[in-house]
Amino acid sequence: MNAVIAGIGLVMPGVDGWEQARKVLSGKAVDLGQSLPAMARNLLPANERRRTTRLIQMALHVAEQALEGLPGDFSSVFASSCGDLEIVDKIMSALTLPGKPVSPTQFHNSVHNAPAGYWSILAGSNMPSTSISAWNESFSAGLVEALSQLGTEHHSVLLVSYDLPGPQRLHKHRPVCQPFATALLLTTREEGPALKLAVEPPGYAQVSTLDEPGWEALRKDNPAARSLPLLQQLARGKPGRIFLPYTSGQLLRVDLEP
Amino acid sequence: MTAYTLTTALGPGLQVQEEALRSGRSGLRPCDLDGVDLSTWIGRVSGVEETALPEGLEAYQCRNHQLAWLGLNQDAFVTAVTRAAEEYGAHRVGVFMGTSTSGVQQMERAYEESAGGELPDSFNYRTTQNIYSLGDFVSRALGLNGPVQVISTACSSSAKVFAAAYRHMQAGFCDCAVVGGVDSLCKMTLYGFNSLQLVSSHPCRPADAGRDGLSIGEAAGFALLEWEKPQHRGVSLMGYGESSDAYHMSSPHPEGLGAAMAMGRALASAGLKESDIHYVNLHGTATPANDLSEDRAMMRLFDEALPCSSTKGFTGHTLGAAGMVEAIYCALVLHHQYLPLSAQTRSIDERIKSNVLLEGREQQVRQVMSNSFGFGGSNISLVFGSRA
Repeated sequence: MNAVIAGIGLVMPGVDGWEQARKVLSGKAVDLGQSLPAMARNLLPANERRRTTRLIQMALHVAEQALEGLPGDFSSVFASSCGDLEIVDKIMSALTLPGKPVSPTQFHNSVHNAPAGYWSILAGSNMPSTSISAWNESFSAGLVEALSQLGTEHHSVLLVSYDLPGPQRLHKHRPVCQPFATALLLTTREEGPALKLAVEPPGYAQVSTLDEPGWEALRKDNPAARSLPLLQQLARGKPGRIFLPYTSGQLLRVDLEP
Repeated sequence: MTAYTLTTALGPGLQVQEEALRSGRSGLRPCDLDGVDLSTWIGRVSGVEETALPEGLEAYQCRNHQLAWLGLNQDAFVTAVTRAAEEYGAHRVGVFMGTSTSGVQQMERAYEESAGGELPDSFNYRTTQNIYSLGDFVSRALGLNGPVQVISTACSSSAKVFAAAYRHMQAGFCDCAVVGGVDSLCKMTLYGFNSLQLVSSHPCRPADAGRDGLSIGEAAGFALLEWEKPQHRGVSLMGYGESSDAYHMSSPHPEGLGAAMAMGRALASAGLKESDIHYVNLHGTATPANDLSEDRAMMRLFDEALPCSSTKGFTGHTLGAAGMVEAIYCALVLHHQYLPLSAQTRSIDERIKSNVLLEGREQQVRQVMSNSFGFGGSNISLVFGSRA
């Protein structure tokens, strides 16, 4: 089955949206010293938006970019290695204080599917949604989940993958340094660049890497940035085969047709 | 479902579950979790702390994985998985797990020890608190090396593993699947639900007029899913339906719109009509809002006479494991043709129209449904059936 990529969202330091990302990805060097773009105000009602966190805003931001205003007749897959470490840190700290004053808003924001929950409210969509983790292979696992949905019950699936650096105290235990989020709207209904997936055994091939050291460092740093070889291939607009790391040391073979 | 097992506050394994569902014995007890000073009842599994993890996986040491390993070792489940791995190849057996808080107790302890400073080096984030660690642990403990996915959608997590496993099998990413749900007691959920004023100070009373909140529990349940073969007898997944409320992060839609959609889609997916369902295992958390919303959803589809019950009075709300617990209770209902009562429910809220069972009874059932709803408006209903 071919999944057509009907829309792409991407946010990272100095890059906001696919148009900009495509240029940067087709070029050579990347400057990770730039700041993360301010997240544009999205359509979330103000009283809900007030309660959101940086991670939730980043996920919603790329989701909106991938859709470009298309109607909400699709399911969604939210893939993140760690979820919201800032929120977990706050709750863990509160539990060490007298009376253990956990904030109710922080508690409901701590669920791994918080971005998905806000997304459904924003989009006004009753369509199914799932939220998953597969450690550093979370993007690949999300891609496989999205394709399995396209192959069985949905004609369009929104895949959103995102991870943020955690708070300082957790850095040693989960050293992610750069924020990165991407979203792909995948569909069987349109024409356009399409991908096919196959799972290959460990050692079948080398995991695809990026030539430029700055990009490669980003790919290795943030689990959501493990998507970069695929995104770079899309930016170049050429057919190609890449291998993404998948669970249990397996490889995900991605064949791209422009 | 060619093999399945369940460990809850009622005890380890299927037999003790079945006995308790018949006798009406609840597994709830006053909260005795270390360092928790709340007046509430919990569904705590005995023997978790004494469970030693398998050799080579010591780095995964945490309450959640101890509970997972205790659960995996009941009802000859490991033997069944080993047979499947030999038949299909260990790389063709997928692992799909659901949890809400994974091994967060380990992180709670690290923060307590650190007293505001550096977290101790002994804290291993990847193998304990990270959501994925449950799938990683189960896959390694069972000697599998295929696709692994951990779903964390709050209290619907381990019902959604059935849908994910089915899709992966259908799309050819694996040939069979181990599905499961494990969530363990921790301060984060007890104090978190307490901050939302959703925790009862009594054993929870689903659908009761006097219900005033949850009792939180812990559990580990697992099932092996294979494509049906002519020789298979027993219980099968017939369909599932998922939806999003698109309403509120921590309150259900008051009219049960999302819940009704999930149930309707599950019926459509199973190719059944409303009257084909003979029993519903309710989400039935015993919060005032959930039980009323779920009842409104039930009444959108089903006749008032349809027998249903919440089994959370037996186990407590096991959160990310609840979907699996109640899927397996549905399997027991089909296997033993016995409908469990709704434990602790005495006098049903007059606004609730569903036929919530105050007593268990023998009844012939062929198709049953299980509901699971979670924070963020994440809903799923599963339909199970038995082969004559």
